[in-house]
Amino acid sequence: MQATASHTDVLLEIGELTAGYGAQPVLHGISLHVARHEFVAVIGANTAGKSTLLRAISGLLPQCRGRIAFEGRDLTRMKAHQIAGLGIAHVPEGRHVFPEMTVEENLRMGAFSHADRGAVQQALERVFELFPRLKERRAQYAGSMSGGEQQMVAVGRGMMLEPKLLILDEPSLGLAPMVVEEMHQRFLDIHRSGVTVLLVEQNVSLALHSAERAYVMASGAIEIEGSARELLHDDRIRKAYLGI
Amino acid sequence: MTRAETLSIALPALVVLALIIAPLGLDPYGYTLRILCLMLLFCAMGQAWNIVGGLANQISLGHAAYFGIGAYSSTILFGSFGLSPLIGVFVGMALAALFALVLSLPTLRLKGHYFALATLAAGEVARVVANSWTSLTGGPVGISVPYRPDAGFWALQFQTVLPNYYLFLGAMVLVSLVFWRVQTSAFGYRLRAIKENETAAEVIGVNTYRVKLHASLLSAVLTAMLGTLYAQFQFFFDPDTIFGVATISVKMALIVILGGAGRLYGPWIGAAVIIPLEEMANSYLGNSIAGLSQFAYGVLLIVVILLNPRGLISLFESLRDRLKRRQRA
Ligand SMILES: Nc1ncnc2c1ncn2[C@@H]1O[C@H](COP(=O)(O)OP(=O)(O)OP(=O)(O)O)[C@@H](O)[C@H]1O
Ligand SMILES: [Mg+2]
Repeated sequence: MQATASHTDVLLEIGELTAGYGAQPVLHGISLHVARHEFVAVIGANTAGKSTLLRAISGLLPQCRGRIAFEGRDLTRMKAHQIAGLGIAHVPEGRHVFPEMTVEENLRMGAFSHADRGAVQQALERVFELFPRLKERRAQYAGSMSGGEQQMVAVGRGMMLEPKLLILDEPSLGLAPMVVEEMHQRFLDIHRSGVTVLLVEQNVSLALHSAERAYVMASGAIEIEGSARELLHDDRIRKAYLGI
Repeated sequence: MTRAETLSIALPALVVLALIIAPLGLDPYGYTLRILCLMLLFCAMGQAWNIVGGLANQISLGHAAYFGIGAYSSTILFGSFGLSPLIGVFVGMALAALFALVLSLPTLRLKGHYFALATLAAGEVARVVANSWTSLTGGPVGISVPYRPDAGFWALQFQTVLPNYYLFLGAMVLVSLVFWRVQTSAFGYRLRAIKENETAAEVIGVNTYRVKLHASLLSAVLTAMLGTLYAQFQFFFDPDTIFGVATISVKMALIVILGGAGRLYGPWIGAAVIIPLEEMANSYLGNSIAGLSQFAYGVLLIVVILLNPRGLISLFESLRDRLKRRQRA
């Protein structure tokens, strides 16, 4: 019984994934898994292939070989919009908002999967609860917001999907330390509300303090895997990423 | 209703009313009325282009293909089988949709200038085919719509230009209403999402390919309809004009981009500026220097995009905003 339970608890499973943009693959046989309700971080140097991995999951790469299963369903042949429909919200690297739409329009765009207005309104209220700032600025054009606010819009828009899995790609890139701290508190809130989180983060210390488990990527492969607490005390990581 | 909302309905209503009244004082066979006809036609064509080019920023330079397919379909059916253009127009629309469908399969995944170049090439293919398929189209010498003044409305032919004018006005209003309906719908928001950030659109679940395809089909079908109206108005055309890059494709894009891409009144403003300008240029320079207008359009398009990609409508808006601020102060 125990085995079956833990098996169904795997939300996302990736096996021997090889993927890239052209002839030369960027990812070389990646295997990882994310359990339901888990908070997993992926860390690694620039160009390690972290964003490429996330793009492969959400269907933004033209071709990938290997296995990507979400709730047991194979994602490798699905298109991005179908994958979003399964309940995977990807907040891509760089602030991908719709600049000439208002904050509220941006958020409502994220709620396509909801059939009725009531559900959209509820989702909107939840996002406003999470980011009160967005409620204040709901009528402002997203393109005229600060970097941190735009990132809130992007995350909030992802949450409008009411996802099972929230994928965050370097959400704190280029933001002031105060804002970064604040943002991570929200990610913990989101996680606590029952959403599974897969986070790519440059700030290794922050990532390992937010996440429960983490993978370290280098040159398109997983190098180290472990609980966040173990990794925080792992000498290799302390030397390479934490500068201790 | 707020004052702004009242104005946004009252203003276009006034313009349309003025357009209904305007020709009553004009010579029904006259030159001015013909220019107004072309203005309305090109406004409608721009509006059709605006659905996909403006809202989704899919800059097509091949819309002449749909226009020409519409014109040739109804004209050939009328000439060879006596089929009324009122029916032929639908055949043209269906064929244009088919052409758009075939063209979309390889091109809709292309981004930016690759898409523009691919559509440009497709328009040229249509022109070459029309030129060489002589048995069907009459080839480079062109084709005439048989004159049947007795057949009346069934032949969509009239004694004066006036009925044509009202047909064009009706078409312009119709296509503008279609554009407005699209723009304000969820479908329109998806098109705008594609324009503003295609990756973001994909990850929030927009089927970008299908949305672009549907918009392209709608745009193609409306353009073909206008092709038939143009054929019935001109009575004669040849492949190089009806499938022309400068005469049709670039002009459609230019009218919209100059006026304001993705905006309801963009093509209105664009056509009101471009068509009279072009007529003036033609009457001063004459049509003698072939290729000059082609060159001029290319240059104008680049200048407009570089100087003010938001179009003339943005100038009006910033003027309005400034007035408002002064009022408040
Ligand atoms: N669109 C693309 N086309 C071709 N190659 C790409 C593309 N995007 C990324 N790459 C290449 O793939 C490799 C991995 O890039 P990726 O963006 O996945 O790294 P990353 O770990 O996310 O880095 P960063 O921390 O800088 O975001 C790099 O060598 C990069 O040059
Ligand atoms: Mg990255």
